[in-house]
Amino acid sequence: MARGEEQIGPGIPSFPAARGAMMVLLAFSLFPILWIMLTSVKNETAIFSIPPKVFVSPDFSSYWKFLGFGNESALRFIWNSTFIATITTFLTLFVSSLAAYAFSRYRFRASNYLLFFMLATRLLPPVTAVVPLYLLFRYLQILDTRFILILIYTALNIPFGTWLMKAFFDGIPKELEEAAALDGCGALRTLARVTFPLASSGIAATSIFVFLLAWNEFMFAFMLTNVHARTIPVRLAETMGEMQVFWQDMSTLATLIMLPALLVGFFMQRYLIRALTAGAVK
Amino acid sequence: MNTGAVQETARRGSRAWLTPARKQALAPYLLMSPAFAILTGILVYPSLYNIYLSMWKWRLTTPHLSTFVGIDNYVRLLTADPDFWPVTRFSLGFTVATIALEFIIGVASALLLYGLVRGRRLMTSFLLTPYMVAPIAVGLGWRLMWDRDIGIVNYIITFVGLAKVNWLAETDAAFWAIVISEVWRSTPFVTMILLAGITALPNEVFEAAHVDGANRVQVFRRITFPLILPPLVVALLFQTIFKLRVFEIPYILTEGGPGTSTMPYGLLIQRTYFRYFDVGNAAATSVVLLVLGTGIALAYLRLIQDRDG
Repeated sequence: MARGEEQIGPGIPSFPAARGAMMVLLAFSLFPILWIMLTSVKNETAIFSIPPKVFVSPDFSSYWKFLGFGNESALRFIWNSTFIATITTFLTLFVSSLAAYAFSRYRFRASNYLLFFMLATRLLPPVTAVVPLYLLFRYLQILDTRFILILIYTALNIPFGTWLMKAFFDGIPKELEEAAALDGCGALRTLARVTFPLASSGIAATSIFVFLLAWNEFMFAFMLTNVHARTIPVRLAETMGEMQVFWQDMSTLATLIMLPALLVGFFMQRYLIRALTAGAVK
Repeated sequence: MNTGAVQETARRGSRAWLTPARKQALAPYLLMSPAFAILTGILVYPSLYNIYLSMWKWRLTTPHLSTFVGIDNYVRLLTADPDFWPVTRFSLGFTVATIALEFIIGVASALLLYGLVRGRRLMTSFLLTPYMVAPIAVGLGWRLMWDRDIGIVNYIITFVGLAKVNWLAETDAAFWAIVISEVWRSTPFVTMILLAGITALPNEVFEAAHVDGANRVQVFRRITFPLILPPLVVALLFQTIFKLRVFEIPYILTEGGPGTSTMPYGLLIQRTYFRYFDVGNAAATSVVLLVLGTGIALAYLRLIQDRDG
């Protein structure tokens, strides 16, 4: 990217004032994350000391506590979250790819209305479904199961997943599929051997997005689970006791939740930005 | 139906109904049926079922005393409920304040990122990080920083010689603490959309303006801003819809307090249902939120259509 210092670009930022502003933004973005991570290796005394301590001899005791097999192990919640987010990702991908493929490849009468309906559901506030869902799941006696969270997260992600996958299918020329058909591939084989491999970057973008939303979700997990299907965000909220917050526990669990998301965001940035900006920028 | 299909039909006899032509016509519906089944069963139908629930006086603790009350729950909610209007006021104020701040910071960040000659990718990754963090962790992390006694914010404030603020217990301070925490979390979304919008603009426009002697501020006001307005409007309307859903951050920072001064709709519904076991009122609140959300969504879709058409 050879853009010279002389060039004016879209306006406003000029060096070195821009460099200063950039540093402020960078500090604002990263400080809270680093502060949480630092707090997770501080013991009680260090956390309560004023002025705040930056250089401490690290105390990893709460990590051993949560990642070990003892009474307070958080492995069960981490496993629940991983399981739910993974299955949700696969289910959403499967179901929305089928729908997206139909929207992208078939011309049929109700196509526009159905797509409109699907996208419109994304705009409804999900919290409005909580009370009826609670009553329904209670009646079916499946409250507090991982199954219902998977279903809910899938439903929440279907509109966006379909929209995203449709955009990627639209970008694959139909001629390629027709050529495969001429060479004797059946419909399913064409889909598996030609269309899906070509849509792989779309599949990556969609999976990352869905996985992160399911991994981070709190509200439904908080209201619809109790013991068995409790996820790691719900366990995190429990570090907030009646009278005080258990800061080291809190920041340790927060770090454990953040780490996978931050790694994914860092290394899969390209896909993630694509998913985020699809729909707004064409 | 063409002659080939008729012959085919005749030949197949009893399975005549499913001709290849019909098969072809049914395929898309079959492909999208799982998606619509889940979507309708888990989100659409339950949301609409609220309308029915909202017409009953029904407490989970005394289900045998349920009575049909028509629109009484709505009348009570809009005229006699002590919480509804404060919650609405908070939601509107919160939406306006967060969106204004996110817009300003987002535009600035996008321009700065675009202007970077080296390290743009790395810097984009760094500025994107807050958006990766689970909202619940954002809430608790900021609660640590806003804490009156051990929080870093008050430490900085006293360091420069000002008096401590009890951030999470005073009405105005709590409002701004929630706004700033949310702005921290979701500005990257606005930044990314704007950056993608600016990157998509043809460079020639800026070069031409530069040749004509326009300065930086003029280029931004007369060229960049009008050109990125469409994605900007879409981003901001999306943000408006998302702000109505805010839950985790107020729940963690203030639990809606002091009083109900920082309570979002989601928390009001949760409380009405899980603390007071009042199904009818929780459902009525949901319906009001549904109407509000639909109104904003329609305005949004209208705007998109105008843009495309």
